[in-house]
This record gives sequence, C-alpha cells and structure tokens, in this order.
Amino acid sequence: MNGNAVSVREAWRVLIYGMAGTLLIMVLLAVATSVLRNAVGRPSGDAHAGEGTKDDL
Amino acid sequence: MEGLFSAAFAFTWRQAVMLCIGGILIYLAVKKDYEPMLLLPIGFGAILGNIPFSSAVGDRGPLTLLFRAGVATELFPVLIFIGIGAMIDFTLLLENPVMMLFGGAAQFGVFATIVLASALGFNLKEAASIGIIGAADGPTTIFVASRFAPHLLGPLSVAAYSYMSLVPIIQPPVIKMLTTRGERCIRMTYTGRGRVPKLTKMLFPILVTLIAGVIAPLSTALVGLLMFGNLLRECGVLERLSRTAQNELANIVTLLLGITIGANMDASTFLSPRTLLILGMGLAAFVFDTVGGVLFAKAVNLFAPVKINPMIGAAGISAFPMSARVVSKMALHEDPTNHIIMQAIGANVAGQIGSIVAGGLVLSLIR
Repeated sequence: MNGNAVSVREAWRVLIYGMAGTLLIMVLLAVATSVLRNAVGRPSGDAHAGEGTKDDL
Repeated sequence: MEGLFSAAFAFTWRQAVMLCIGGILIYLAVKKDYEPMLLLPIGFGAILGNIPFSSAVGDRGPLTLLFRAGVATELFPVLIFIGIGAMIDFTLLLENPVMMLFGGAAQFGVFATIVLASALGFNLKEAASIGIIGAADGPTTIFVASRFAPHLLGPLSVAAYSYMSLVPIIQPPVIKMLTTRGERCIRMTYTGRGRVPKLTKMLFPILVTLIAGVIAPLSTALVGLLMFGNLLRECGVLERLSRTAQNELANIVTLLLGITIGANMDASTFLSPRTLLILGMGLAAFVFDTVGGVLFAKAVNLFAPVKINPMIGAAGISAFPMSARVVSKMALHEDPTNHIIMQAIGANVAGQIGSIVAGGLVLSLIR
C-alpha cells in the first residue's frame, strides 16, 4: 500500500512535469517555426499549391 | 507419429479463448475496417502463438526471434517512424504554427492516465506504458512499452490501435459535453494558401529535432527518425527513398511488428483482469486527451482577441486524419457553412509531433 502511495505521488510528478515539458517544447516549436517562416519569407508566385520554387532555396 | 495430433489434446481453455480473440481481431480488421494493417497480423499472430507446441514461437521460433530482434530492441517502432515522417505533410501546421499548442495540450490523456493507472495498483513503469496509449500513436506506445513493460505489449497494442479506429465514436460525446452549441459554431478564418516555401519545409524537421532533442535527449530516437523521414520527403532530391520509406519500409515493418506482437500474446498474461483494466484505461486516455485539448482551447479563448473553435483542441491528438475529420464534421453538422478542416488538420499533425514529444518526456521522467 505504501509502495502504491509512492507510485501515485511519482505519477503526479510525471503529470505535472510531463505536461509542462510537453507544452514548453510545443511553445518553443511554435515560436521557432514562426521565426523560421518569417525569416524564409513567402514562396514565389509561380509555384503550384503546396510547393515551393527553386528561388526559395 | 507421436508428434502428430499432439496439439489437439493439449489445448487449454485459455489457449482456446486466445484463438477466439485472434479470430475476433481478424473479424474487426476485415469486416469493420478497424486498423486492418495492424489488427489482422496481431490476430493471426495470436492464433499462431497459442497453438500448443507451436513452432512459430519458443526459443527457436521465428516469431520469438523477431520479437527479440525487433520489438524488445525497439527497432521496429523506430523504423516505422521513418515511414510515418515521410507520409506527413506539415504544410498546414507551418502556415499556422499556433496549432502546435493544441498538439501539446491534447497529450493530457497520457499523463492523467499514468496517475489513474498508478492509483489502480500498477507500478510506475507499467502505468507509464498504459498512459502512453493516450498518445494515440501505435509505434510510440510500442516503443515506450517495450522499454518499460514488455509483458504488457499485447493488450497495450490492441488497445492503442483499437481506440485509434474508434476516435469517431469516442470523441464526439466528450466534445459535446464540454462545449456549447455557440462554441461549436465559432468560425475560424483560413488565411493560408496551402503554400509554404520549400526551404521552410526542409528546415522544419531539422529545427524540431534540435529543439526536442536538446530539451529531452531521450526523445531523439522518436522525434529524430520521424523528422528524418519528413526530410526525405521534403528535400526534393530523394524521391525514391521517400517513396520507399512511405511504402516498402513502413509496410514491411508494420507487417512484422503486428504478427510478432500477436504471437507473443501469451494466454497466461493476456487473459487476466489486468487486461480488462488496461483496455478500460486506454479508453480513459483518449477521453482525457479530448478533455485536455478542448479545455485548453476554451482557456485560450478567455484571453485571445480572435476566438478559436474549441473543438480544434480535440483534434490535437495524434490519430490522423480521423480526429480532424471528426471535428470538421461536427462543425459542419452545427452549421453547414462552417469549414474548419484546415485548422483541424493543422492541430492534428501537431498532435503527431506532440505525441512523440510526450513519449520522449515519459522516458526522460521515469527511470
């Protein structure tokens, strides 16, 4: 029973740190993606939908 | 002669039940179309592994050897990630990176279920393996479970893949319970044009690998190989490798993974009350995911100047594209002119990243 109580307490720790860590990483990815998108800019107008062009490189 | 018919007299009732379970899985795969690529091999594997004296399993059995070589070493799930990465198009996420947040919030089910499983008496590593069903991502579940609780791989895999197919049944009542009709009718303007520069698409997988890898190095195998597959797809010069990863590699490994896991669904460990508990908690994990996603979106709406349809939060799970379709259909049901499919797909592919990030964090936090 005592072992189970320890396990549950550990599980709460995993919940708090895990959720915070997941959200932190996803926020960082969102910010980094926005920065990347703005740094690279928009694709040229002659591409098909969903495709970039050679100029993008 | 004595080797012949020996199995017929050696059947135990448990093995007979396992053969029936194998048959049911094959039925669900063929007749109901529930994740047939996995459930059919798992079902047939369960039959192969539970025939008394089966030469398919055991010390020299080919399926046991495959299990040791590919599942116990975590090799198969990791290889599948390359294929999945090559299949994912992140364009809609790159157009609207904010959707990343929903991909993170909808992993709530992973961590909440770990607490639930611990409270029900599972040790922490078993609880983590059960919780990861909430990643709604079969390979991640298998990857974590093969490290923490290989003896539970059978029921965990069945639960993970079954519930992924049942997303259209599981999510709508939960979403309806948590949202008002007015909220479900919130419109979201799609400003993207489905066009993202090739350079952005190429740099994105490298960026994700670096950020996730530096913060949680144990997630590098999961995130890195998924993103490697995506880089193959987006680089534009490795069309053949990209196609191979999407088709041959993913298909061969999926086939071997399914039958290997099925063959190792031993009657004595599978037929226990714990299996029923695991199946129940798998369902709870998907419900918690949906709750986490929707409530997070509602919380964002308290501060955001432009309101978000909270159903988008529910699309943040990794079950692609089922979850995005469910949310889009629900929006159209409330208002036939409200199209939120683009945003829902963005959140859904973010969920694919979120699920492996959550898997990596579970590996990092539990030793």
